[in-house]
Amino acid sequence: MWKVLGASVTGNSHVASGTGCQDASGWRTHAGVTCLAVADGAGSRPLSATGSALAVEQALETVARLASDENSPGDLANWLRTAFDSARDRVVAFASSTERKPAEYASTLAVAILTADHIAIGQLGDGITVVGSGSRYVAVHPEVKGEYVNETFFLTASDWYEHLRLTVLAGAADVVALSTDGLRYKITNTKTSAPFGPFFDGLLSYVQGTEASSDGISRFLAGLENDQTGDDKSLVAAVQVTVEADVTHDGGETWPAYAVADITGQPPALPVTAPG
Amino acid sequence: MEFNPQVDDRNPDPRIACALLLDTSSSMSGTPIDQLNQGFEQFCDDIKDDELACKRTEISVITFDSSARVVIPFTEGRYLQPQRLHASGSTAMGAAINLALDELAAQKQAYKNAGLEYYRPWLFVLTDGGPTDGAVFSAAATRLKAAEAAKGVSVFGIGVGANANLVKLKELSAQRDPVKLDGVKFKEFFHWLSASLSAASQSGNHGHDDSAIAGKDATEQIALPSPNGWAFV
Repeated sequence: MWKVLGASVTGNSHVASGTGCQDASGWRTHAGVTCLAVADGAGSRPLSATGSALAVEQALETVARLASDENSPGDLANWLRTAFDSARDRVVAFASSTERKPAEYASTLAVAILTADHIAIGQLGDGITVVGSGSRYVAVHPEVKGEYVNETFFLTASDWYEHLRLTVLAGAADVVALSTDGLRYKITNTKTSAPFGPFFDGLLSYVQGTEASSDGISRFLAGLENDQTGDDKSLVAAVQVTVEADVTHDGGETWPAYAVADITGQPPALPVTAPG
Repeated sequence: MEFNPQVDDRNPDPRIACALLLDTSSSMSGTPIDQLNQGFEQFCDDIKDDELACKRTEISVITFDSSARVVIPFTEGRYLQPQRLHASGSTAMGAAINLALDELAAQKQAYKNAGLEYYRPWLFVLTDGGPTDGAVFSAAATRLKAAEAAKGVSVFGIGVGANANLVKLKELSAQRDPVKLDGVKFKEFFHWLSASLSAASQSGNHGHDDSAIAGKDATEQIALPSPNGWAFV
């Protein structure tokens, strides 16, 4: 089964400017399905912290609902489309309720759905998603940067679904990690997006340990000096463990109380793109 | 239990090479060279305050008096250390420009070899007089203007004091007129330079070669701070 730890911390430049943490992250295990989510609120939008928190919350909630519904289709790519569509609807509805433009709540979103035999990853924007097995780590479908390193795609964009990247992997993995671009220099090769192996080796063995905690992840993120971005940083990692005792099932600092009954989103009719 | 994984500490950031060509001829003796030294010393601290600029900026100092020499080879801002300059001799400005262009070409090649992206380099010429190596200067000025026209370098000429030959400085750039330093406000100049490098470091105007950078100018101009605090514009 999957054991998950994670945290989001405010970046140095956001501390200096008083912006606060615009990253959000969380996870949930429900009906045998574990879901991880991270979102990076757009730095230039003052309300993006709310946008990223809502997106993470809604994505996790939607996957939990799908996992508990016997009538849900088995296609995990469709689960991801539903989760993203629902997250976007939530953000857009919130923006509308505050009489603001959705773009003011712009954020990226990355979601991983882990079942007994599949790993499904959906991404919008420049999050980092790494899957590892046997000390081999792969960045799953990284965003191809356009002309400018500081540009990415956001959930609130009207053409968001054209940029949604879906990957469904069959089989097992030792670790699945989601992060935001604040860590890109430290844990990936910024040119090739290849994961920095020693980091993920360390992450895997740490999270597998019985003493590991999300606070430990948080301290690591907050203590990183010279991260070269000054940006907020998030890390959520799921590792395979065989012992079920003392395993955290829900978490994330942006994870508030919620009611599944509120969910009314239906699976959207989106252009079908082949996962992978 | 603490989580202390190994992280990638190499510096893959795109680089802004900034060559400072500083006049250390005998006329700079006394207050001007003292102020220049103090200004550069403060700059070495300022540049380290900006997390991005201290890794993206690489500074070289080339001095020119009776000859030109590299006093500080291109060094990342985070490692930059001040070096005390002394004034003597004449003003081999042309030799300094040739040296700087050679150093910049070598630096760009080093970036390419390392797979690093770079910004268009900056070249500053600060002088309180005029070139005393006339023929060398004329050829060097032509070479510099050609490099500028090919979008290979941005040129900034700065005259110091009443005897700075702004006409000669103007020969160094077809795109930017030289400015006059207000008195000996080297500190203000270097403060502006640090702020300007910070602004540039945040822009996306970098690429793997000159042509890749040239294509970006039309869509993203770097907004530099006003030089009002130190220059007569």
